Amino acid sequence: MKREFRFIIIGILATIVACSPSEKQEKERFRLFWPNSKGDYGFKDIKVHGLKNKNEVRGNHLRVYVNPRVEGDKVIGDRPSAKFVRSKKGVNVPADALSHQMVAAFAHVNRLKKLSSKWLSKKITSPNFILFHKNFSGGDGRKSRNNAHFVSSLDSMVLVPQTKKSKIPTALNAGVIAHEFFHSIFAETIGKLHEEYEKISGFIVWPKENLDSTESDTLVEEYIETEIDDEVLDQIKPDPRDFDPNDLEIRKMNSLMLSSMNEGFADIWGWIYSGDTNYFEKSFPHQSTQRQIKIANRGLIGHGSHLHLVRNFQLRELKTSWYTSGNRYANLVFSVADLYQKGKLLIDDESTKSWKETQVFVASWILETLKDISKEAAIHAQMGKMELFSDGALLYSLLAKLNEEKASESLCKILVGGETFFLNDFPSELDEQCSSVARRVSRRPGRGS
Amino acid sequence: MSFRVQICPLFLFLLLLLFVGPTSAAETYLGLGISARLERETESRDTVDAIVPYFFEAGVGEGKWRFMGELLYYNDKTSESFVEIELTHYEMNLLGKYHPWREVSSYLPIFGAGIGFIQENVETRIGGEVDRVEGDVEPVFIGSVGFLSTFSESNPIGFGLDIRALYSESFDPEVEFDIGGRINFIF
Repeated sequence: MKREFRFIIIGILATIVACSPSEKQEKERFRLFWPNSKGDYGFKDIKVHGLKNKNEVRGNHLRVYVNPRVEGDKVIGDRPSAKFVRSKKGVNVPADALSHQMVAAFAHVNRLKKLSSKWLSKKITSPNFILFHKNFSGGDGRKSRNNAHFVSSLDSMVLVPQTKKSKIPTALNAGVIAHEFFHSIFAETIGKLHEEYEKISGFIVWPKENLDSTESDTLVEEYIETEIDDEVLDQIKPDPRDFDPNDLEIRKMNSLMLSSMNEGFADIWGWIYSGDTNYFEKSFPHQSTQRQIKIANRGLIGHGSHLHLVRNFQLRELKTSWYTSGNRYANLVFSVADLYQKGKLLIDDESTKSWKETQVFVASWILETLKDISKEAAIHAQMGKMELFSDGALLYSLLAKLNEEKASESLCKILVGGETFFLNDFPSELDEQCSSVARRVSRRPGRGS
Repeated sequence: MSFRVQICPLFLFLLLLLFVGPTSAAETYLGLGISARLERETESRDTVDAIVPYFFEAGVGEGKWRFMGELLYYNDKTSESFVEIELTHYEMNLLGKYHPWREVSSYLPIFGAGIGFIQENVETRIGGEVDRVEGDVEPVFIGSVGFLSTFSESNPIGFGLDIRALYSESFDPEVEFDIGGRINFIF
């Protein structure tokens, strides 16, 4: 009896110590490799909003899957089980490499939804899925590596493994995530229009027949690279618009312009979200020269060049040109945004702008451009005749934003001083406003010289 | 609260054992063991993976009862897309076990229950930067069933196997299972 009593005492003591209350902990913070406002990365305690279940990395409008399969347009996967250790400060520290990347990507996309909704004054809910996929295939049939993708038909951002060492893994790169995120805004704004163009021009076709298979547990992306020929024409669905081979050429050019804008504006979205003009270099050093944002504006590539590209190059080269032409859009937007922030955009306005104001300026400018193109397309559809979109759409929407105030000389130098302006549709108002700065119209490829 | 403070009950327990002193009928023993703890895989919560903790234990047994303290450890390194994370897990458990059919056979089930404390530390390496975070101490409640061979001064080596259910708010799900084997030495 005496001995049993001793054991009871021991048990009581141990239990009292063990069960003493600990501090109440805040659970929504996560220890993540996160950028500061200058784009420098370090370990920080980040509040992640919208996370309904941290272990499943799930929110109301955003879920993460690892290596899911696809049935039709549906992503089917198991719920993940992210692991965390709670620090003494009550911060959730990811306990394995995948958990860290899943939560970081979730946090960036969720922030992007909130910020973009604010910038654009409209609710952005896409994408609904972030897929970490090791079997996602690139255009050449090989598994995609060192890259990120947005697949609009699946409403998914796809992050693939990084095999080349870089400063920042893709899933943690705020700029790269924002770049892919922009494609969802583009898809939402331009939507079906862009998909239609992609299919007609044969740049990208998502092979649904492969994805419908329930046996397949891998995602497949195939770029169908083929000359436009009778076979492709046969694939085109009947269209109320008057359609002929010339029309197809127009569509190809419009598609090239849309794709270029999609990539160029996405590069800018990466910058306005991360505050970093060099974010590509941090994950993709091999692309750093092709994707520089902060370089002097070299002018937009207009229809003149696009016609040349469409007539003289294979689709493979056209695809590469999305990024090249897109980079021109990025350079122009960056140069103008820089003037805006410095208060040098207008003759009568010399007030410097905050970074937040600059973000809103850039985002709304891009959105207005996309809306203008959608309106153009709607008008073409009504007319029953497809025509070229205005290659000066970005400048027209900028003019609208200037609200009839006069462009400064610095702005004029950027807008009309570029060396390779091949724009067919250059706004005449800008020519008038910037009469002191001579517009240089240089050679147009494919038209002699 | 640090793990040093939380580990206090184990030392308190051992200290009291010293004061109480094993009676002539009691057996004081040390043990070593290895177990397989089932956890959900990060990729999919519908599949499980086993991690392998090692443990050291000290205890006292008398008649049908055994009381023991355990120190358990494992280390888990993961690397993906140049994100490297090393998790170090320390666990200290206090258990009481009851062997209702000891006289019949040592191979009949022995039941146990106890409380434990877990501390995990995380070292993360990304882009040349290193971050070390010490986790908070989390309590864990344990129930077990298994067998334990009879051992005595004349037969000083015993062995055992048990299946445990561990409950902690820090687990996902809150209950995890573990199967462990041990070898004990009477001193």
